Amino acid sequence: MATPVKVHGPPMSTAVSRVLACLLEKNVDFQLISVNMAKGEHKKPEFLKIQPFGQVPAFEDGGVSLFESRAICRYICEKYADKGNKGLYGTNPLAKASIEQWLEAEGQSFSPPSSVLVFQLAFAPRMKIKQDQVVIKQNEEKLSRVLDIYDKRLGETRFLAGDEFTLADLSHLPNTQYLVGVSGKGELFTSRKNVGRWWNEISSRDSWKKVVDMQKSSA
Amino acid sequence: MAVKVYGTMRSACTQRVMACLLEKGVDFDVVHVDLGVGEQKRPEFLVRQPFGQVPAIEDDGFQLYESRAIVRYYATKYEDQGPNLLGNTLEERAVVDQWLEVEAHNFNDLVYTLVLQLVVLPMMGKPGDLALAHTCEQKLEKVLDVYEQRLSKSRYLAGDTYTLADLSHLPGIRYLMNEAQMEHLVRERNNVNSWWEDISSRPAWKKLLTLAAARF
Repeated sequence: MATPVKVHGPPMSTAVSRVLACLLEKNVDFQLISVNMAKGEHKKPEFLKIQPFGQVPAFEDGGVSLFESRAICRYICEKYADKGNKGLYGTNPLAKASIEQWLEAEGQSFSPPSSVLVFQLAFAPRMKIKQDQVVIKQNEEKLSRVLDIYDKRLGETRFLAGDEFTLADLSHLPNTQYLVGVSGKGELFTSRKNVGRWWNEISSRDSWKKVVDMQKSSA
Repeated sequence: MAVKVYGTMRSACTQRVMACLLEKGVDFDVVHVDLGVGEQKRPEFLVRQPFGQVPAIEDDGFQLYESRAIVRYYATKYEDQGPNLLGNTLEERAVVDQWLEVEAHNFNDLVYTLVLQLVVLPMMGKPGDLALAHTCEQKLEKVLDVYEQRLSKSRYLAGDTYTLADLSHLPGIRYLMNEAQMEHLVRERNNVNSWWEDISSRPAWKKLLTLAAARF
């Protein structure tokens, strides 16, 4: 019987890997369907039917079709509430509110500069695109200021939303993995005591290790 | 006890929160944060919102920031009061969430950059980057083409009822059409235009504009 949960996109995409991490945390079986972005598959009509902005991932669960990785993650957590990590999206409204706050902080403050750096440092070289050193410097400075705020927060709580690992922490895994892997930029995280501790903890989770393996075997 | 919204009625993100509270009939007071003098970067405010941004709320001791987290919280807390802004089934709620994320990641950055370059910087006596503004405008055209297609299939973004997904767009589109003078982006698209006319004539939004005008 075909697995009803399908994720469309390459595991090396940060947004795709966000969804994969969530599915693995929740022990939800899924089928990964590749999308050849180098060949522009994500801009073709058949793909635009499931993601009209031409971005990855696209997600299907039986008759439900969704896009936007953070929306997909919330859906997975709600639908499969009793599976895998039950506290991933909080078990009461106040816990959930804190998770939402840090999920938004990830999306609005952490993601913009870190995504630019991931593109410039990890993807541009592969795509033979020239790196823009001015842009790299500007975004490194922005990210540094954000990580100073994170370091203070993570001195008060073990994880971003409180004392348990949640969707808010998970959402940071994809971009950070690339930045830590690029020489010289890992220090942005490891030189900050609490951020470094947090990164070690969240990146050693079995679910994330599996995602990293999936990325390596598809490269 | 009224919810305290720390922010400014001119800020799009503060307006997002106000619009939600007005829709749900939740009492609130806006505690003005003077962005002009950098009040949001002062230590007293950073305790409340460490990124130095507005809005932040305080509700009987409970504190929260990030406008989209705040609206999700109140739409859920007061689910049975006022219009249901979230959707009924799990699937409907996921689609609301999906379009809220589209607003946050495909729409908002473009609008923000456009308004910054064309409106805010010139107001501060600095030159705006017109080429960058034009690039944003072109990208927004493509994004709104997708909205146009979507709104040919349903009355609102997430389905046939008004939800947080639509609400979240109100402040940004108002700025686009007024101060940034980009009315054409909406008017040239039949479905987007009808949708905008509909959502911007809701009493809660009209009330917000009255409150904001009175303040300034």
